[in-house]
This record gives sequence, C-alpha cells and structure tokens, in this order.
Amino acid sequence: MDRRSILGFSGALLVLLVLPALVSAGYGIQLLNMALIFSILALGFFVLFGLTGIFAVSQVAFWGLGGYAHAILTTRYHWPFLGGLLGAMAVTAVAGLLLGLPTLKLRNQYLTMATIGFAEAVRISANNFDKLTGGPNGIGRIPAPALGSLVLNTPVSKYYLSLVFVVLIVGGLWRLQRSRLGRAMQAVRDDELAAEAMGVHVTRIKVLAFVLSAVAGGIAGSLYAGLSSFVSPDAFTLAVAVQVTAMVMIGGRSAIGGVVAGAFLLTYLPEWLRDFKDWYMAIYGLGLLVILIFLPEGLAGGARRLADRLKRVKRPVENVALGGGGQ
Amino acid sequence: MQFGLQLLVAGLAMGAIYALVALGFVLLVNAVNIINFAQGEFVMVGAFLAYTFGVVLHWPYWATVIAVVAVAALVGIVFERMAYYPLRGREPSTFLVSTLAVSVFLRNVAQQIWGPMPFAYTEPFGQNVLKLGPVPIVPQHLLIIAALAVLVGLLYGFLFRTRLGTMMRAASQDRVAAQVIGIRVNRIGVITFMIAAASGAVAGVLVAPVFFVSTEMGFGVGLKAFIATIIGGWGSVPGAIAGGLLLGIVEVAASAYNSGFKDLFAFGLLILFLIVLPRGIFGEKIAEKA
Repeated sequence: MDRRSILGFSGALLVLLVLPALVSAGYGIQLLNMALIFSILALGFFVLFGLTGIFAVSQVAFWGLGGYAHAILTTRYHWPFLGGLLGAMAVTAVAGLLLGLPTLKLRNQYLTMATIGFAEAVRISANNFDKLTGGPNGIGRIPAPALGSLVLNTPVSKYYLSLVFVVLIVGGLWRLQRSRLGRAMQAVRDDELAAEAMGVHVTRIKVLAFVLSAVAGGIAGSLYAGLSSFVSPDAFTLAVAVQVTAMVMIGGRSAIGGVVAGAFLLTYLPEWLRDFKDWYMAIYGLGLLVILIFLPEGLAGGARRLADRLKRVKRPVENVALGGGGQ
Repeated sequence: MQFGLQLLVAGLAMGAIYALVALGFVLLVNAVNIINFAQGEFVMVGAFLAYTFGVVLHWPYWATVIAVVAVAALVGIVFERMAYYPLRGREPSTFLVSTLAVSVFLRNVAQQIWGPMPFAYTEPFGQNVLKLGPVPIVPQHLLIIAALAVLVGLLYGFLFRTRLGTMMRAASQDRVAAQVIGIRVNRIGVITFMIAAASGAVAGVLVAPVFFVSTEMGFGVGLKAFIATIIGGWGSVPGAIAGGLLLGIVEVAASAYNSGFKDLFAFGLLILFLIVLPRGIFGEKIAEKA
C-alpha cells in the first residue's frame, strides 16, 4: 500500500466514523445508513462490472433475496441475527451460482436481459407467493441485529455495524484487485479471448465474480432487513438496479473509493436537489449522461487526472492495467 | 373455443405491439450496434402525444397519427445526439447506461408535461365491441394486427426497394466498406434512430386504448420487446416479428390462467430460450463471441 492510498483510506474512514455525530438523529442518520447499504450493493456490482466487465442487473434481486431470506429466517424460524446474515449469504450465493452458470456463457446483451428477467421474477414472486413472503404487505417486525447480548437497536449502532461490513468489503476488494484472481478478472474484462488464450478459465472467473457480487447483495439485504425491520417488494425495483449502476459508473468503475463516493453522492443527491423536487429525476438522468460523456472514468478518474495535472507528472505505465477503464 | 379465439386475437394484438417496438430495437442493433434501453419510452411518448393531439386538440385520427410520427422522428434525432453520437466508439455497456439515462430523463420530462395521473385514450373505436358470430372481439385488436402487417410491408419496401434502404442495409452489413463507397453512415444512423422512435411511437398510439396512458407504460413494453428480440433471434427483422407475436400469445394465455404471474411467464419464456435456443428462432450472425 503506497502512502497516498493509506492517507486516503484513513481519511475517509475517519470521516465515516465521526459522520453520525454531525447529522440529525432521525432522518440524517437514516440517510447515512442507506448510503452504507448502497455502498455494499455498489461494491458488489463493482466486482462484476468494474473488475470483470459483466453488465448484469441482478444486484437488486440479490439484495431482495438476501432481505427476504433474513426476514423469513429471523421472524418465522427465530434465528439470531448472525444466522439470518449467514443464511442470506448462503441463499444469494446459491442463487448467484444457479443464475450465473447458464447465463454467463451468453454474450453480454443476453446476459443483461436474462438478469433483468431474473430481477423482475424475484420481485413478482415476492409479490405473489403470499404464504412465504406476505405478498405486497411484506414482512414486518424483523428483530434488530444482536451480537450475543448486545442488541443494536439504535440507528447509530446499526450504522457502525454496516460500517464494519463496508470496511471489511473495501479491504477485501482492495486485496482482490491486486491478487492473481483479481488480475484474471481484469484480463477477462479487457479482452476475453486473449485472457482465455493465456490460460484463464473465463467461465469459472465470471461465475466466481457473479457469486461474489451476489453475496455482497445478500449482505446488503440482510443489513437492510435488520435496519428497517421491514421488507416489501417495493424496495427492490429495477429503479434501484439503475441507481446502483449509476453509482459505480459515476464513482469510476475501476476505483473502489470512487464506488463508495458514488454511492454516498447518489444517496444524498435527491436531498440536495430538493428544491427542484419535481425535476429531480430528469436532472439526475441528464447529469448521468453528462458524466458519461465528459468523465469517461467517473469521479475517481476525473480526480486522478486533476491531481496529475496539478503535479504535472505522468502516471507510471505499470498502473495502466490496474487503473483500467481503457481510454 | 370461442374463448380460445378471443385470446388468440388479443394475444396477436399484444404481440404485434411488442413486434413493432422490437423492430426499432433490431434496426438500431444492426445500424449502430447499440442496445437501446429507452425504446419503450418512445411508446410512452407516442401515447402521450396521441392524447394531446387527439383528445386535447380534437384532431382527427389520421392527423393525430401523422403528427405523432413527425414529432417522434424529431425525438429520435434529439435522442441520437444525446445518447449515441457523443459516445460512439465507446464500449457497449456505455450505451446501456446512456440510453437508460435518457429513458429516465424522458419519463420524468413527460411527467412534468402531462402529470403523474394516467389518461384514458380510446380513439378511434371508443368502447365498442365487435361481434364475430358469438365471439366478442375488440376492434382495436384487429386494427393493431392490421397496422403491423401494413407497417412491416412498408418497412420491407423501404429496405429492399429504395436507394436509402439499400444504403441502410449496406451500412449495417459493413460500416467501413459502406463508408468507403461514399455512404454517409452517420446520417444513416440518424435516420435509423428516427425510424426506431417513430415505430415505437406508432405502437404507443395503437396500444394506448388497450392500456392507460402513463409515464410507466413504456418500460414494461420495452422490456417485452427486448425479450421478443432475443426469442426471435438477435438482429433479425423477421425474428423480431415472430418473437413479438409468440410472446404476446404466451402472455395472454398465461394471464387467462393467472394474471399475477403474467410477467413471470414472459421472463420464464426468455430464460427457457436463452438456455435451450440462445440463437432464437431466426438466429443469424451470432458466431462472433464477446
């Protein structure tokens, strides 16, 4: 880890640690909690899209599956929080494997479509299998997360719980990006045929990336269920999938820090655009387009270019493979 | 039997709508090789425009249709300048997001113009129902099916009998070679976007009496048209039509069985095709991987 990353990481962590003290107790902390949950979702999508170059829309479905798995296990079978979390991870891992195996052999646009189909199928099923999921009414009274006798029933304590997961996942992804497996994923992203020729087992790498992102979705779903103590099909619409995609694109699809920044930015943007409330989504669509056109590597890429220009140094060539994103 | 015939007509009509929207998809895939996630929003735009011209301004049906096509073609040009032209040459996933972004934009601008409440639009037949012997048939369904037949005829005439259509086919076969012999491929791209937007908007005028006119109507239809494209065979014009009709029939039959699971059947059909027959019914040029 070079000095710049250490500085950036500890700075960001410090900000995230003190943030709850700076916001209002009710709505403010609720938004922070959602920003962390979206960060986990977006980090999962980063593995798939940023590292491996797969554009799937299923992240929202795994979020929903994780949430429902957690809700059903803790309310109906009275499992403890950690049991619900592990259950959600297991369900999403299996679902990711089952969806990934047949679809990841397909070309990209088919895969995108198949995952949209899957996401809609999960939502429609949640809406219609009343006996298991409570139908449109959802499942309520999900117990607050508890670790042994320590019950995390305040929004602030839930925030720190989510933060632990965000830090763990960011750390894990940072290692992954620089590992043999991570390099294989990036090779698949940059040129599938070349990667295959170099001996990378493309389908296996893709399925693995898919399962990893699904499990991240499951963790986010489980934390969300514990946070809001209520899950319903309304929370898992395709609009969320678009949101998560935008977070990764805007943050910078190959920078982990950028992804978290993108998640926070897009969670808070509606609040900042409150004065335009009615036009908010239209502005949001337009803004997404503007970023796509003018910042092809997202906020992270833009920030890096700005820093380089200020220091008037060229980035070393060895980072090209890790920096990714083409251009 | 009567019920069966009724379902068949309704299914073919729904399928014809999907086919019309899917045609726009396929033309864009062939001409500029992008997947347009906003294709369904053209349907929404067409339906809202039909409401404005037909109900608010009391224009006759034929004038409404012509006006909708003209405005939709303009929307197609703007769309091309926003979501495609500045980004051309980037990797395919860029266009998934750029078209999604424009789709969000269009839907919310429509909400600002026309408001969030759905409208009823019943032109040109009102609430009348046709009696075919003992079988009640919705005349709008027959109009939709006839319109598809006419428009497909026009499209084939355009693609195979006119100079511009021939240039369009040449550009979609080999962009560079077409450029070398003097075809302005960028202009062909704009024209394709105009046709795609217009065909989607016509589908919007036709489907408006079947659904309510709302900002949400486009997304579902666009998704179904996408499924139809894959079932029919990626990039295939006859495939888009066959896939659309098949999907419409399956969906209407499924909703007769259980309406809550209608969409589940559509996606089930998609996943079935992806696993068993990923090339689709009329699969062509699928050989290149990645």
